[in-house]
Amino acid sequence: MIYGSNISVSFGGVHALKNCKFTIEEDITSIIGPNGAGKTTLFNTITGHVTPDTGTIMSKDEDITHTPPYRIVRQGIARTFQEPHVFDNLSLRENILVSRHNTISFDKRMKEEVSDILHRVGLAKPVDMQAGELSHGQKRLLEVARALALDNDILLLDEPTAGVHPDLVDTFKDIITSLPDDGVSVCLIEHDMDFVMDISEEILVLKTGSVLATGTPEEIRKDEAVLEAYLGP
Amino acid sequence: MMSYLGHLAILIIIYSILAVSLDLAVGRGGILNLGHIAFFGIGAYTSTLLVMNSVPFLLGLLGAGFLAGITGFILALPTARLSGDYLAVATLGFGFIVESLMRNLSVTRGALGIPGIPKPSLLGMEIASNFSYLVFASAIAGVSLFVMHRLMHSHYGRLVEAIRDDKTAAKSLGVSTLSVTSLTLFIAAFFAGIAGSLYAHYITFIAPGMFNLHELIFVFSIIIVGGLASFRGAIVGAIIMTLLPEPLRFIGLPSSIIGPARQMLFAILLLSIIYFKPKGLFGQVELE
Repeated sequence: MIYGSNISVSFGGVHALKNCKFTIEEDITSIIGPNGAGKTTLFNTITGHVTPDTGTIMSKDEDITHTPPYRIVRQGIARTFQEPHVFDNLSLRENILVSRHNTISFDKRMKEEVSDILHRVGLAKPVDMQAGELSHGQKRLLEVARALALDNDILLLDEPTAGVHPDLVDTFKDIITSLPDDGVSVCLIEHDMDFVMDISEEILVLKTGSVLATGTPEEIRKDEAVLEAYLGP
Repeated sequence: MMSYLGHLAILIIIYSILAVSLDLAVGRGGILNLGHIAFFGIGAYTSTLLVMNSVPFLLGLLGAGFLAGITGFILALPTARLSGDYLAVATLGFGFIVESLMRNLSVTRGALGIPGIPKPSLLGMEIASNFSYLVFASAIAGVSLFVMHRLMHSHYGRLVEAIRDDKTAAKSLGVSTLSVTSLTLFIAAFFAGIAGSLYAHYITFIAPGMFNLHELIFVFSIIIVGGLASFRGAIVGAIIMTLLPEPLRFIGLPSSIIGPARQMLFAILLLSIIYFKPKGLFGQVELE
């Protein structure tokens, strides 16, 4: 579970998050909201890429508010980015192995694990292929594969289906819905409402840096404030 | 003639170590370090001063590597948050500071430099002739290049390249970018220091002007010609850049013309490489 209270983040005169309070505790939680609502800033703050001006973020009863990103990962929180961040000049195998940098052994078993992880996300490409040669959607899959290779129990996905081929959307849906069975909780930012409503157990709606509403997909669909601010009639 | 060829081979070997160490930071690590030549100089001065004060040569050689390495490690700490142009300017400033220290400290004899540096001596035998120095420098280069090659093809090397490609992503996978970058600069500076020691004890004279921007441009040209993130590239680049101007000696040009002609040759080579092979001869990545 990740819990945040009174989180405020500002960039110059822009208040990206204002006294934001949230709890991420379900197996699949989605964060939605209009552009500029502070969704990615919230992810960046949770994962240590942005330091909040005020507030506290707790994960597994530990205060992670001022923890640098590389230590947040060791707290069990993995993430992907709005734009895919892969190591373009490294092979797919090397991309995955960066996640395993704390593991001493790089034997045959590790090579098999790399193939398994790539297979799990449906990335059927040669492991020695350079990541820079992948398409946009495939890079997103590689990012997810890399995050899964961390063996963490919380995965934050920032717009996983944005800009990907429609055929890949179902692949992402299958991956995300299968993760809770492996003990991985997922929190995602997404603009595809059908996708969100279909897979989420809980939805957080952000508006101008604050949580506007929280609830199940059914509750969010009927919430007057959400309809007015984001979903529309 | 053999002595002349041996001289060129020794220079190629020393510049190969220096270029591979620079490529380790710039090509592999994406750290645009314009202060690298200072590590070469620190190595040259450290080894010279130690050996001239009765320290055995091998200890002087290692001392040169370690002092340069520690300086590189320290340089990494304040510059860790910088990248691109800002990092380049900061490290260039570091290079100027080191050169200024060499020029103004009494222990380095300022602009006068230090003449009469002894040739290395191992087990009571002085490595005096060009041939014996060539064998000795080849052995040191072999070990140095082997170690750097192994490091860059290890898991640590993968992390170095990952940070070069995407620092944010590396952090998000639990990589301490500061630790890896500091270690990279330590290793790169260590081997630049080793090259500096070999250079000082071969030329037997050092002065601040031998470790300035002019020399840095020469070493950068080696890795640009050979290509970034390539061992083979750095070594081939060192061979080309060392041998390229040599024919000018034999075509009877006045000495006042030879210097500018050398620079023109280098310029033509660099422009040709940038135009026809932007990644260099064997480059894996482009310098951003």
